[in-house]
Amino acid sequence: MKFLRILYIIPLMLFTPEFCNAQSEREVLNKKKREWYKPDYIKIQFAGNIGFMSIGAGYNWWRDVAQTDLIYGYVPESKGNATIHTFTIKNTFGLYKFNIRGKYNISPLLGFSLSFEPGENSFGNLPDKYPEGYYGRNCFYACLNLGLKSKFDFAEERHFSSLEVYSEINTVADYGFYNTIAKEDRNNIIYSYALGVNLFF
Amino acid sequence: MKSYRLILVLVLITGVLSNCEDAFEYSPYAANVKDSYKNVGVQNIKSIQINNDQSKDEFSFAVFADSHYNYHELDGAVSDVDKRDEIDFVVVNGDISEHGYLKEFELFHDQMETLNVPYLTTIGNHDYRSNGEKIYSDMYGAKNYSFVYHNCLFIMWDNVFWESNKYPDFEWLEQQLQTEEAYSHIFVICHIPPFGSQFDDESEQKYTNLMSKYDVDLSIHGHTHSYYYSKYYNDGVDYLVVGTIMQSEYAIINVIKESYSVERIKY
Repeated sequence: MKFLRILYIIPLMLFTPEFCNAQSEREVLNKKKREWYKPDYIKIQFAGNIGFMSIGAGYNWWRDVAQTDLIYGYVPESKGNATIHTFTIKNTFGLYKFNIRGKYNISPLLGFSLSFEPGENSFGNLPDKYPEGYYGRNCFYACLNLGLKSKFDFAEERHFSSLEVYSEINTVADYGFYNTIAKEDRNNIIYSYALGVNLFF
Repeated sequence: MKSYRLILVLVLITGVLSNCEDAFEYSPYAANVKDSYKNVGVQNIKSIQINNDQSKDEFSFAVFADSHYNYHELDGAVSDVDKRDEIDFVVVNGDISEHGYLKEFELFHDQMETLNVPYLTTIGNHDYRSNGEKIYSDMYGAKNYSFVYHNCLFIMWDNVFWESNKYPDFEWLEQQLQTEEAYSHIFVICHIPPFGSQFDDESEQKYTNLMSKYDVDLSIHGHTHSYYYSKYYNDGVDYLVVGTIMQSEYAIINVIKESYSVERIKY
């Protein structure tokens, strides 16, 4: 499983916007009608180290190859043995768009995110009780994602014009670091999965 | 597909998937310890007690401290202990994690589980970070506990002040020391030395008074990442600070009848 370490080093320059544009005509029209600050889609994600369930808003950019999401994630006590609130900024890049029979499409994706968790013993600024330099800040963490997504247009437009479904394999950057310095690979436990949808206006 | 049907389908899929505990993770700060990692401390004490023989007066145990995320060096310590037949068990004297992540506790246990002998733990300040205290308790049980092995009393004590937001339980510590049994040796094991950070003058005095009053043989610590072994207060009590696993170092305590010796191991 050593090859999975490649997850950390895949360069972002493997893709170009020309190959990845996945917008439908209807979506383009809708976007033109909207104010610039209104999001292009609503995101709902299950798992992936940013919450049990997460919800957010997202924007397409770089000719729709890239997506940036602002997400709130929640882990209830029943699922995490602790109540956790997480705020995440997530960037995802579509690597290529494969068309299947002209009807379906599928794109590999690569992404990273930065999360903030304001917990009791996690902090951005060192509390006064600790001497200077005792701890670094531990309320931020980064994640890396690799996955697949597929987009479908709704036949009849109501609130949303299209739906994007994605699945990802995910790791926290610290886990990747631990795995790199460990003598043996721990790939069996440092990766986990996430599923999500983007509902486009 | 209409929106409400779609949402219904997604809720159903999520419900099914959320029961697949190994495949999906919700946050590095989550404290949902998997069943296979629960109560390993209790099981390890039972394993040690199987070999407990009050008539025996010679044995050795190893002390690790402050491994944090240094899994490569931890692996080296495990291999080194496994080469030595004389060691009956290993005590890990705190800071088995760095950020208090569940994954760090799992990685640590996966490594320690490969030891040929059982291991016991005390909690360190790093283990309290995030939701680490909950994880520690689910995996290793009580943070204050004691046991007897080959007629030696071992007192494992939680002395983390700042991260726990509480004053260590000195009353419990004294109750353990107020024993009428004639033990060959009394070892008190806690992460932070009384001359390290977190102790103020009053608590330092309180701790050292207890050690000398009840004739503790050896007070064993970690935390400072630097080796120390001497009578720090010149009151007859030996203080040992075990060097960190990060620097490929641990200690072995050899108990030989009414005496004991400390070996500093570098591997």
